[in-house]
Formats: sequence, structure tokens, C-alpha cells
Amino acid sequence: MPRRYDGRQFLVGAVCMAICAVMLAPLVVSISASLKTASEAAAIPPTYFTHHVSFESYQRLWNYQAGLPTYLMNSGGAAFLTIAFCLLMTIPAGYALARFPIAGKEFIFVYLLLALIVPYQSLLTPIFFMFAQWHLTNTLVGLAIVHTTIQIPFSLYIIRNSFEAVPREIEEAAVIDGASLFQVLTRICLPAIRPAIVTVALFAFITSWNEFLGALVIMNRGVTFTLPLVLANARQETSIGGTDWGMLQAGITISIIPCVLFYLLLQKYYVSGFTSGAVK
Amino acid sequence: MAFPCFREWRQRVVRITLPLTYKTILLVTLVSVIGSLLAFDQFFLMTAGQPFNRTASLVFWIYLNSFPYLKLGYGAALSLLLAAMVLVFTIVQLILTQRSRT
Repeated sequence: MPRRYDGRQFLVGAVCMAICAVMLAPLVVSISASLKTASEAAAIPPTYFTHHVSFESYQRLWNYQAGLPTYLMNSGGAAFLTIAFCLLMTIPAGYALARFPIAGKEFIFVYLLLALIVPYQSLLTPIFFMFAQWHLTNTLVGLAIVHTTIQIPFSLYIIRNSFEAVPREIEEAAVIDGASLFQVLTRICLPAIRPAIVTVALFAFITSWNEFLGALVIMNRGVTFTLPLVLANARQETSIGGTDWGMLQAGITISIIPCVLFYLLLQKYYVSGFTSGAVK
Repeated sequence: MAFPCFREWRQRVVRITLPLTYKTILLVTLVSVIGSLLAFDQFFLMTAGQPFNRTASLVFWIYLNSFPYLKLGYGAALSLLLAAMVLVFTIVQLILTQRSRT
């Protein structure tokens, strides 16, 4: 059917644009508010667009309490530990579940996926007590463990399915050429499932970076706060001038940047990672 | 132009598109229901349950009882309740995905 441009297409386009505008409005408000001066950010009624562009909100955020670098390091550290734990645990597990002749393999796989059913929110109380006994509260490792447990079933699912999609013939050829089992994994299979690894790492990063409740429970000392916690804290803190909205919006803007950046950089991989895992 | 087609279009949606996709629609609804059951951040940040804990969600109520109030047994009991609720929804969801795959 040849494409006709009647009124409908323009109407659909207009509706889509309107929805996009509604979705993007809070983002624009955040960014523009972060660039306002302190008095303008607190002005009632609020101004729509920034009159004087100033970075003083970011300056105040930089020096807020323990300082922005500490919090960024906490958030980033927890995120990268989460990625590392996830990959270190799911790559061997996924490979074994996809290739090794284990009795009841399917059952083990489904059993591991059952963790998806239990919401981690309902496990936080016992987790907190276990961690308190093992002195893991207020540590990045402890937080990363919580985030890893959230992320593991999904990661295992993706990794295992893409290991299964790797043709056995390639592995057999490598074995004939004298590769050991470990070499087959590192030289053949890992490069083949790179999209899946990127997907898992990306989702682990985003989960860990945005996660709030777990961090709230595990971290209760100011120096160990992650970025979302600091922002929540700044929101509740009522100083003489009330909440510092400009600084809050600056923090929000900064916390958005890494996620968007990772998405855009790895977009190509993560789309193919999904399909390579799912089509199989 | 689009107006006389409306009847046709409505029939197509009601008779064909919706019956064929209703399982998917139900699935998406369930996923978002589970997501809403577990909502916490929004409540904690925007209202903190105020006034008088009338805007407390279930997860927020668990958090409030377990940590600031230190009523741990109550919090743990509520956690189990939450897990059971989510379990019911998830089982329905699993049944639906099983069917829609075949």
C-alpha cells in the first residue's frame, strides 16, 4: 500500500509530540532550575525559564556536607561492585547451566529464577540484621551485595540464554584445536555473548545507581550515603531558608547524566543483547 | 476524511485487536500492579506518609515500622504479607506467560 499523507498521520505525530513534551517537561524543569540563582529558584511564583544562568547551585552541591565527590564515589563504587559481582557470578553459572551435563539442570535454573518472585523489599529487615552481625552495614560491599541479589535472576536469565545461543560447533572446533575448557569459555564464548554482558552490566549499573530503599536501610552514616540518599536528605532538611531547591535540582541533573550516558553509549549492544537472549 | 472510517476502525479494535491482545494487556497490567505494590521512593520523598500516615504505601509502612519505630516483629509479619500478595500476582502472571507462549 503506498503511503498516503492524510490528516491522520499528522494528528498521530502531534499526539506523540505532546506526550513526549509531557514526559520531558520535568527533566527540563529540573535542568533549568539547577541553573537558576538561589533567589530565583526559591521565587514564588516560580519562573519558567532561567533568567541568569549561574552554576552556584552546583557549587553548593559540590560542598554539601561531605562533598559531592564522596557521594559520587559511593554511588559509583556500589554500582561497579554490583556489576563485578553480577558478572563474576552469572557468567560461570550461566555457562554451566547452558553446557554442562548436570542432573536436574532445568530445575536448578527455574529454582534460581524463583528469586524474581520474592520482592527484595520484604527481605530488607532480615538482611539488615544479618549485615549488622557481619559488620556489612555502612559498607559499599554490603550495599553492592543487596543490589546484586536484586539483579542476579535477571542477569542469569540473559547470560544463560545467550550462552545457549552460541553454536556448539564453534566450541567443538576450538576443542579440536587443543583449547582447554577454560580457554573455550574465555576465547570463544565470552566474545560471542558480549551484547548480553553489556546488557547485564548496564542494567546492574542502572539498578544500583537508582536504588533507594536498600541504600536507605543499609547506609545510615552520612559519609557512606549514595547520591539518592543525599538528595532525599537535602529535601527533608529544613534550614532557615527552607529546602534548597536549586541544589536539589543540580543533584538530580547530575544523577541523571551517567544513566543517560551509559544508555546512549551502549544502546546498540543492549538491544541486540535482549534479542539474542530472547529469540533462542 | 477520517470520520466515516471511525465505525470501521472501532469495530476492528473491539472485535479483533483487543481479543487478540487481551492477554498481553493483562500481563502488562499485572506487571505494573506489582510495581505499584512495591512503590516506596515516591511516598518516602514526597509525603513521608504525612498527614498521619494516611499516604503510607505498604512498603513504606514496613520500613516505618521496622526501622524508625523498631517494631521488628510487626515489620517482618507485614513483609511476609507483602511477599504473599506479590506471589499471588506473580503466579497469575506466570500462568499467563505460559499460555501466551504456546
